[in-house]
Amino acid sequence: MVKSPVVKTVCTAVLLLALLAGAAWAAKYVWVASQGATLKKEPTASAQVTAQLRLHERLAVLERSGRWYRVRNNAGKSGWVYRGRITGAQPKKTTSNNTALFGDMSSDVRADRATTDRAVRGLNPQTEQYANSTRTPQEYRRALDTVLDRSITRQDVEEFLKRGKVGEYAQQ
Amino acid sequence: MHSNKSMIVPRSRRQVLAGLLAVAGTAVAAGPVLAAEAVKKDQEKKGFDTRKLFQGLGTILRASQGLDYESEKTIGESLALEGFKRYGMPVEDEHVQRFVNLLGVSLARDSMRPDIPYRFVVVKNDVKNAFSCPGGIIFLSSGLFTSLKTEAQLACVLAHEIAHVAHKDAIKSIQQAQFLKGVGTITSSAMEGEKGRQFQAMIGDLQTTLFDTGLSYKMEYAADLGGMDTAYRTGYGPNGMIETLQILRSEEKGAIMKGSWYSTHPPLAKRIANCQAHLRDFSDYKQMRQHTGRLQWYQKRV
Repeated sequence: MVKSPVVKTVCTAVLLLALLAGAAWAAKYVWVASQGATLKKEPTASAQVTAQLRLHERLAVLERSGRWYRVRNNAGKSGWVYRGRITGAQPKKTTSNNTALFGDMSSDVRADRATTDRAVRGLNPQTEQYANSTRTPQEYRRALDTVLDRSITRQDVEEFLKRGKVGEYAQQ
Repeated sequence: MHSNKSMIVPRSRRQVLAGLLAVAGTAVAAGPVLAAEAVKKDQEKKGFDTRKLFQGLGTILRASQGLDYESEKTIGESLALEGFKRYGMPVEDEHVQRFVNLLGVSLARDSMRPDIPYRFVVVKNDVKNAFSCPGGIIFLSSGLFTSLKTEAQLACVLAHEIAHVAHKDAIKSIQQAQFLKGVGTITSSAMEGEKGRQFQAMIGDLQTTLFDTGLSYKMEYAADLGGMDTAYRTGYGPNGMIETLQILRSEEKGAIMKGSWYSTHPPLAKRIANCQAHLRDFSDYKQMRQHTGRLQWYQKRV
């Protein structure tokens, strides 16, 4: 059966749209599930960092090489991410405030600085109230204060894993 | 009393991830499809779906979701003070404390709840125990710390405790507390008078649970599996969990029971069996880090 040029054009357009829709529908996603995850130029720990990733950010998977995934984020940045930093299930946000694993999310400078800023560390006023009402000896309060005052930065963690050849720093 | 319910057994990874990865049917999409299939297979095998699994099984706290993080931290810090009273003061070696914190934070970064600060402390006590306070303060006894043989074992112990924080298990155990009725934020005024007494009673109940009777078996089994997943994600052998439990079992005879992992955790044989079943999900676990040569140096300093 001979189709008119118009019908052919429409059919071609529909087929093309179907293919594009199929490609979009087939796009697979993972989510950033780790604090301080980065995109790297190559699938190795020592590769250049091309972008910082946000916790819970969605990434489209492009390919895989060993324990590394090449992904693209919503901003169009692509690169490699270690498998331990992503999850196949969309994470549920667990906090609604500005708490973060490394303290101040915007910078590690504060975490590196010796501080007595009670808004950042130390027993909060309600804990102090509890300590007073239960007549908790000062030595225990000081012990807890010391625990809360100890800071670990992102760089510290990276160095720790690197020295131990752990995770993305393991020799494969 | 423990609720000796059967453990949470992950359904097949395919069921858990069903709907996450669609099947593509076009030549144009072949690249992404292949990549996605690799992700799917990789994560099906290796427990990457734990978050979804636990969420799906309803272990995310509902009754106290209204409690903000600062309030959770207040409960945790108050409990931590009691922890020092009960288990003793921190080991006075900054190298040891820093090492455990570095490892702990490395794990917390890849845990199911990576967006809160975690702190770890080794306390001087021969009783083999570890416990976690709400909000992320985690205690480890020197007795347990020096019993371990590999960094992977220590990673699994810490990751187990991190999982309890992530699941908010301690908070769940006190969700019926009188103090929490109608309280979303613990303010200074909520710590006075009758409310203050209720708060103290709640911390007392929490102590009993964490230091004596233990959390539910279901929570412990979930923390075992969640801990294995977290350790693996960071790059440690999840078999460290099984090895730790085997060490505890070999030392059970003659061990101090009161206030230890023996008295606050489910029977070791059952936990080992559960973890061994879960280990099959990690096809390349033997390639994960077991030793780094660091642990023994720190153990000698305790």
